[in-house]
Amino acid sequence: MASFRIALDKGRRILFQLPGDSSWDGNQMSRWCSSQARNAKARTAEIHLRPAVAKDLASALAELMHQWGFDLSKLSGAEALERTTAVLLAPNSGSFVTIVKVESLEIPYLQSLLTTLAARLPGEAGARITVVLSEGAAGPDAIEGADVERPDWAAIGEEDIRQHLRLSWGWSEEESQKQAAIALQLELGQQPGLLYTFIAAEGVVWDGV
Amino acid sequence: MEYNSEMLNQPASRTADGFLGLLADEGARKALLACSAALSLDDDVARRAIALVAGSNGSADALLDRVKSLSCVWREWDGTWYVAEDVRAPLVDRLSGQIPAGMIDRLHELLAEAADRRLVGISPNGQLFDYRVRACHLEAGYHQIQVTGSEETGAERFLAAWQPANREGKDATAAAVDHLAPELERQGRPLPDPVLFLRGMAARTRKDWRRAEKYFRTVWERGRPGEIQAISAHLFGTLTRDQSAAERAFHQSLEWYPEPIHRGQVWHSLGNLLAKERSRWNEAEGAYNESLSLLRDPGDQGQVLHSLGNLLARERSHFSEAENAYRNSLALDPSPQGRGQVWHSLANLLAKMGSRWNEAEDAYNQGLSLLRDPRDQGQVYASWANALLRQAKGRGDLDRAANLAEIARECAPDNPKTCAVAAKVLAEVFRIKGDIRQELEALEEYLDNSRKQYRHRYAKRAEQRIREIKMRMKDVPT
Repeated sequence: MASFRIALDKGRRILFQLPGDSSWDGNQMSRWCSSQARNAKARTAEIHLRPAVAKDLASALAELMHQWGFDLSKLSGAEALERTTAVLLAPNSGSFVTIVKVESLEIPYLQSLLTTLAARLPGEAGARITVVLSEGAAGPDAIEGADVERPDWAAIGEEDIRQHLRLSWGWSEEESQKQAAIALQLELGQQPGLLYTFIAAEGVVWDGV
Repeated sequence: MEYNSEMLNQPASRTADGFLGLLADEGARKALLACSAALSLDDDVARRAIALVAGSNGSADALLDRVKSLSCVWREWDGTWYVAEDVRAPLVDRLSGQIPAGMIDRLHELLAEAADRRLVGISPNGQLFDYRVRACHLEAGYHQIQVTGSEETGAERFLAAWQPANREGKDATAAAVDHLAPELERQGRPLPDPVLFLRGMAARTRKDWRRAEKYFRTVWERGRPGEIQAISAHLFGTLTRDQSAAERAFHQSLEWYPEPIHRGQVWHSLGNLLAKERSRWNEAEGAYNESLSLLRDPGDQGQVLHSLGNLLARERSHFSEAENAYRNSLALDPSPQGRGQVWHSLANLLAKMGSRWNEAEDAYNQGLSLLRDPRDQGQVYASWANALLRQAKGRGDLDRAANLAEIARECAPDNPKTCAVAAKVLAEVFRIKGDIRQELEALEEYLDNSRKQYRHRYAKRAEQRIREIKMRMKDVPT
């Protein structure tokens, strides 16, 4: 995901929308983004907005602020937004990267949260990057003050799988070819999350060795 | 292992089956099912859940690693983890087919106890403390409600999460219960009152009035006295179009929960209901006075006085009492929004008095200065235009009324009530000026907005006038 690294280096205000579906590899992508951000010394946080738990806006922001190194006292959503905005608008505040796993686009405060995360003082160079992982990479088409991008994903091809099996798992060329063909027959090239599980499941042949 | 492509494709239930299919053995599949029963896990709780369901003979650690390596497992920043909802919910539906009922009960007991242990260990920490307490109650309730014989206890835990929360926490709790309820319904469980009540509250927050009415009605019709039952009866009464059912619901609500603020609010709603029937205006006034005797918050009292003023303003003989009610409301209500609306009502009253037109215009301006929402401002402009038209003394007044009506439309283009009043004013101005083409255009807009409000009588009158104009236009050469 070169565009993420470039956004971090160039201090862009941007929202990346990635598929958060379980059959996809959003899980691994979010970890990759977090580690890249930490390496670049950006303040990094991750929140999960799930319909099955009762997380209100103030609590979601408190989780973010806690990971960035600030604590919020008991506040209303509007007050918490104000405090968070003040942190993001502070001079020389550096870069902020936030991973937001969204399990329902009906979360009522999603838009205001994402808009706040793009806040930056004019002239400041620190990046404001938000990575939203949602079903089918759905989400807002526009965020005030920030670009919105849905990276174009190419399917994983037979050669990618064969190489991965050979180099990372030590399979023979013949076995790699056979398994890659099965994986593609199952259309796993479009669903990396299931592909990883498939490869891990097939890997158990070595358990008894 | 057998794979097939259909099993692995979307939608979610197939993805869930796909993950089960990809796990090589029965133990791993049961481990995933056990973890899917939970809303949130740590390794220790997951290990115990896996040991219970998969009977793993010491291999729980290995099974745990297998589950955690799946791409449907997400880790939260605080170390807890969960199976993503697109896989978790369909897998929960499969639990009963894969695991004996007694074991499912024990699994939920284990998970409820884990949530309670977490609750005891939470240290006070600002905003996060409130959320974590709420999440633990919710989670414990979700599991207890699925244990045979503990359904009511579980449902009470949902209320324990909801009751102490602020407005936003309450909304979030109700939305979470609303999300989980279909899962409980699919298990064939009758939903206890607190679950239906919270579903009603969630529907109300997202302005889904039909569902809100349905849930509140069900709780009310079960006829069990209590706080949430009384609140449900009250809210059902405010939502239903069946006035007789509403009145019965309000009276039962008053019987079921003696708390003064609740009773004060119900008497206010009852007053509003009775005020719809001219023959019961005295009863309505009595209901408002009951409400005022019970409510202590100046803002609440201000709202009741506003309603009382609206009732009294319907009869010329009570205009002076209506004005007093409005002015008392203005003195009590601290919210700019509330006072803005009272100034609007007072302005309409003063305009009806004729001799106090200048005061009425000042009151319209006061209302506009307090109301921030353009839709509210649009209503004031529409009323002002209508009042000005009624007492217009010359062409200057007519032009001003038309101008105010145009502003009203611009402020609230999506509000049929405001647009209908504005269009009616414009149609009348054009009629007086003899501009039948513009009158026709305004009448068509009025007709459209009357239909949107289901005001069939007004719509019929507009249709009649439109027909007359069209007949006349046939006779007039273009």
